[in-house]
Amino acid sequence: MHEYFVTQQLIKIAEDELKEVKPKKVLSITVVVGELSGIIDESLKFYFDILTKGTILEGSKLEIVQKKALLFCNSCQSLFERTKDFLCPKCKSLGKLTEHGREFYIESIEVDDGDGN
Amino acid sequence: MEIKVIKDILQRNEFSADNIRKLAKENKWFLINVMGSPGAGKTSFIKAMINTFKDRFNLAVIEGDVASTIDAEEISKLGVEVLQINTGGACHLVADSINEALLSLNLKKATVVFIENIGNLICPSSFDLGENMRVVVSSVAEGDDKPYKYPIMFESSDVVVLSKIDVVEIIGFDMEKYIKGLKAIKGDNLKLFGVSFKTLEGLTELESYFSELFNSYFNRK
Ligand SMILES: [Zn+2]
Repeated sequence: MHEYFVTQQLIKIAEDELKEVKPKKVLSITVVVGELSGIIDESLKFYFDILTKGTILEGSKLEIVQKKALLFCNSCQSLFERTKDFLCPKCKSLGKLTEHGREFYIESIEVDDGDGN
Repeated sequence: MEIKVIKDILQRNEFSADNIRKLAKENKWFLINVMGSPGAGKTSFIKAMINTFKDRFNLAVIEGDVASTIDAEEISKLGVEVLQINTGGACHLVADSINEALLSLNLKKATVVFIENIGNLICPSSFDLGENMRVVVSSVAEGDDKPYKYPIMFESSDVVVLSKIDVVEIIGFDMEKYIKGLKAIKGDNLKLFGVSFKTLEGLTELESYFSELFNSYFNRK
């Protein structure tokens, strides 16, 4: 799995974002991970704890928001969760991939900026 | 306090990929990222392409492998320049290492470069290598459900090479189901070639497709 590389990048991006803020402490970082993104949550967490050592993110919590893959059915115009054969559960037509399930981004970083909040 | 970020985590890879695109354009290199499961036939595909095209075009190969050099040795016997990248456990190639590889290969102008990615159907699809095209080699032996299970790999590829079609009957591979899945993902953009590198069935169609492609790329002003 490529979580090692991806986690490195994630930490770099977070560090860049925090340069201006210079927080006292980073509390948590929330990452959105789609089912089709190819990212395994457990590996991400595993590497996050190791790779944040010695960085501003050390000791912060990695929160992962999972997103399901949704397919779109053209016949009945509905979005449905991915089925084994891509068939729409309502009308049995073949569904198409959508943007749902490909997410992979940092949604937010929560920091303690020193004035008690 | 909460900071909203929303940034593509892969942006740094994208920077290198853009650099490769620039290099390739300047030097008229045509880069083909070859992806697929271990044993699907990625090396066989590249070898077949080398045999067909080595007299007509400049060719080179970048071999990605987790640790071994077996494929690289086999390919260099065919008389083309090969560079091996060992990822040391990583499951895909990244643009940075392709960038380096291209520079150390000492390539001529107008060269077709095959990049054999690491064998798996998930990770390589997320990483842009600045390639001109992506080929996924998918074998009959892996089953007809692959497009449904790994849709992003097929979606991200320009050409699907379905290998080992000599065993369709033996495996009980449902071609209709396979194609249906691909069409759901690719729509009318589907370019599928069924081949057997063993019996050479289907190879003529595959070769003429690439022949046309290379001709138009290298002959354009
Ligand atoms: Zn429907």
